[in-house]
Amino acid sequence: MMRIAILLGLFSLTLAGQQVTSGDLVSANENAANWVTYNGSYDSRHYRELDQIKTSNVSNLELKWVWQAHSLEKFESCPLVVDGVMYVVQMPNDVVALDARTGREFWRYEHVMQGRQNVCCGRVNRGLAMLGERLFMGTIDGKLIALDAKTGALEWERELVDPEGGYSLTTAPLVVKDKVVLGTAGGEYGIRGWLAAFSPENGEELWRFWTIPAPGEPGHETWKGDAWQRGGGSIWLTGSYDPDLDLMYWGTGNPAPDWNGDVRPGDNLYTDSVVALDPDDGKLKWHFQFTPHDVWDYDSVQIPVLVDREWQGRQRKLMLWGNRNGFFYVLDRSNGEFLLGKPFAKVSWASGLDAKGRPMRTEGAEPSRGGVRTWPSVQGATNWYAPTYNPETGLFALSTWEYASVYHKGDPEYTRGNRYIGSLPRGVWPDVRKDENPGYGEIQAIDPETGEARWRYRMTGISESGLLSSSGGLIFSGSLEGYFFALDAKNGELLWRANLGGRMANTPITYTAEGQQLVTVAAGNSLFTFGLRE
Amino acid sequence: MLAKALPLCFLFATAAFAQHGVEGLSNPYKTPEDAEAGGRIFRSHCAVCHGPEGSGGKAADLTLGRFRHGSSDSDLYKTISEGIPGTEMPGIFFNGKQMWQIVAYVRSLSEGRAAEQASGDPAAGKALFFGKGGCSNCHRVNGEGSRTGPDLSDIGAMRSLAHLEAALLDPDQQVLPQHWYVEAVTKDGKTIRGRRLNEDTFSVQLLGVDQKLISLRKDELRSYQVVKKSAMPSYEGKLSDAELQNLLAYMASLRLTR
Repeated sequence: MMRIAILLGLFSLTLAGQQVTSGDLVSANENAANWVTYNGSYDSRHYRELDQIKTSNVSNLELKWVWQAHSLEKFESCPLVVDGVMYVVQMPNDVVALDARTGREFWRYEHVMQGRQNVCCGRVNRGLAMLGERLFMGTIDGKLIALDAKTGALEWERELVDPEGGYSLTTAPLVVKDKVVLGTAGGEYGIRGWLAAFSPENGEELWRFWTIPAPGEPGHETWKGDAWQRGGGSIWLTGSYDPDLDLMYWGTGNPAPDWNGDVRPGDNLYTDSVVALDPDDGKLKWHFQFTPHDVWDYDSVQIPVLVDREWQGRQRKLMLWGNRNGFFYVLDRSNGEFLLGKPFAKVSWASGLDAKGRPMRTEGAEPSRGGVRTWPSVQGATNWYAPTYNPETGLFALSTWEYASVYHKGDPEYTRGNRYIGSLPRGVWPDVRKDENPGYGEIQAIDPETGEARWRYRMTGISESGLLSSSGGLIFSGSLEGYFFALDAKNGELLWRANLGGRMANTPITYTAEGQQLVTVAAGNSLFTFGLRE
Repeated sequence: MLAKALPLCFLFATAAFAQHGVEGLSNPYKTPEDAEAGGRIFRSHCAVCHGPEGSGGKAADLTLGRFRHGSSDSDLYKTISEGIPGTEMPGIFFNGKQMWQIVAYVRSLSEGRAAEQASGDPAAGKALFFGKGGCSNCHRVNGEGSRTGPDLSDIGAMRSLAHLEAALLDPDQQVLPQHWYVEAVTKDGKTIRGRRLNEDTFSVQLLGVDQKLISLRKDELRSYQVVKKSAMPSYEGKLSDAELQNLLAYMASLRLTR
């Protein structure tokens, strides 16, 4: 009996920790050992109070371990770290648990894809959510699944969307209180987008918010005819949450068809917007549309960064947003009020924003049959990769592109499961070796008070890497060139770099394992973890 | 959402037509109207990777008439409908007629070039290329000549006669970025020139004039510039009309066996 009791005691010790409570999610910034949600914390600042690695010793970073994925597909996933265990998605939808200190595997879940999948931009996945001892993942073939975080065993799965119709699940879910929230991707396939909440116990749907309102619903007046039924408005990046205001914020994708707006006159709400929702019932509290009637594919699928600070002499609850359309925005996140907006890259589709933040469009910048060169490019002046807010410098930093596309207008034809886009732009993806005007990438640090860049770090190529900042005075990021680097958060000076030999298309994270601060980033098809030389 | 250059996924199912099997069939829809209809679909679904004119970009250049995954009509049908597993090439899902029309359009991209006839003597042009003309001092054909300029082993399949003539007489008219060259001066005053192979924020990789591969760190250079002109001199007035025609005939004859 005593032996059993001892064994039980051991098991309970093992089971203690390595789980995530709703409280852990709220206080994520106070536990710098872990990275418990896609954006690291509900405010999505991608900032950690960790200073073992700092400006004075970052040059002593060394490689601690590499984990190689058994997949050649694009590595966009960001891992979670919970009490020494790292959970990462191997493209497209396998899940692997690793020892965060050594990179050795505990277990592996292999998802068997079913049916055919129609995706615009690769079979990508951005990550996981965790609550209790369960991991949650959306899959390319349209399922929400729950895994046992201790074993990788499938606990339940629920089919949410029809992948043959162009729907897929690529975003990392967000757990808010007792619900798992995620939405559907597929904005190039004439979908009707939504965001919904599900029970963590069995996947039962608890509420649904349609990003394209149906007849009789507020916002439907911004559509004509039946265009709303194929109006797009996908959700493909994890939102943020303010526990004090009890509001969730999510960015929405482009209207469909992308590059020909003739079939959908009007502002096309709630595409290219941020929507603020009540997490208990999914009711819309406010919205702000960044690009009404978008015809350039400027999804507002960026991460809402929530900051409480003094702004222009008054303490405010702010939302900072570097948008794909080239403008940096400051909003009051309690009510959606537009406070400031300034371009952070060359913008030719609009001459500026009016007093309410509505863009003043430039004549002749819309796609045409012959093509129109317009800034930013179709990939945007920035895109889905994470920005960071550093409370010590008070600066909002992000990866930017200075690049243009030639936008063509074509005839959109809806056929189920095929792209519904209306032609394609030229100049989608710069290549420094082949393009005459490949543009360039920058890391910019913007002062939210003014919207002006305080510093810029310029790269020859462009970047798809998000940013991570820390109390060590550092910003970590990477580039498509394959460099992983650390900048001085105060002035953008390059302090350290390593050539990882593959593009970075995710965001670095930092955490501790056995007391040592580590930084992990994916490059190419592998995860690389760095720490200080011991 | 076009998050990044559209490419893509693998798709394991086949289009409805393919499920009935197309192996060994030739294209029943190959009129100019069919190719035009296929072109409309191509521009919507394929052009983002293969380029609006099919001349490549992120994905293969389809104007060369070279198809690595099979060049029969049914091979092309299968590749387009099913995609290429293990690559970013997806399948697309249209009815059988539309799929054949896409095949017709893809075929049309590489037609026409073979019909061009040059008036000169290719053998005399070859002698000029490797002799008096000095072309092989920079260019390579089927393993002979220097690598410092573009390899011309397949240039007859890739370029029209008019384009080749323009390139000889006015080389700066169009210089593709992959043929730009670099002039760098090291901190100890040494000048280095070569064709730019690659470049990033911190370094640049060259094929030097002596055919050596060179990698330079930018922070070790005194100066550095990418020259966007051709390193080739104009042949305007340097060749007789007959010599020019002979050289063009030789270049037009350069096609790799497929």
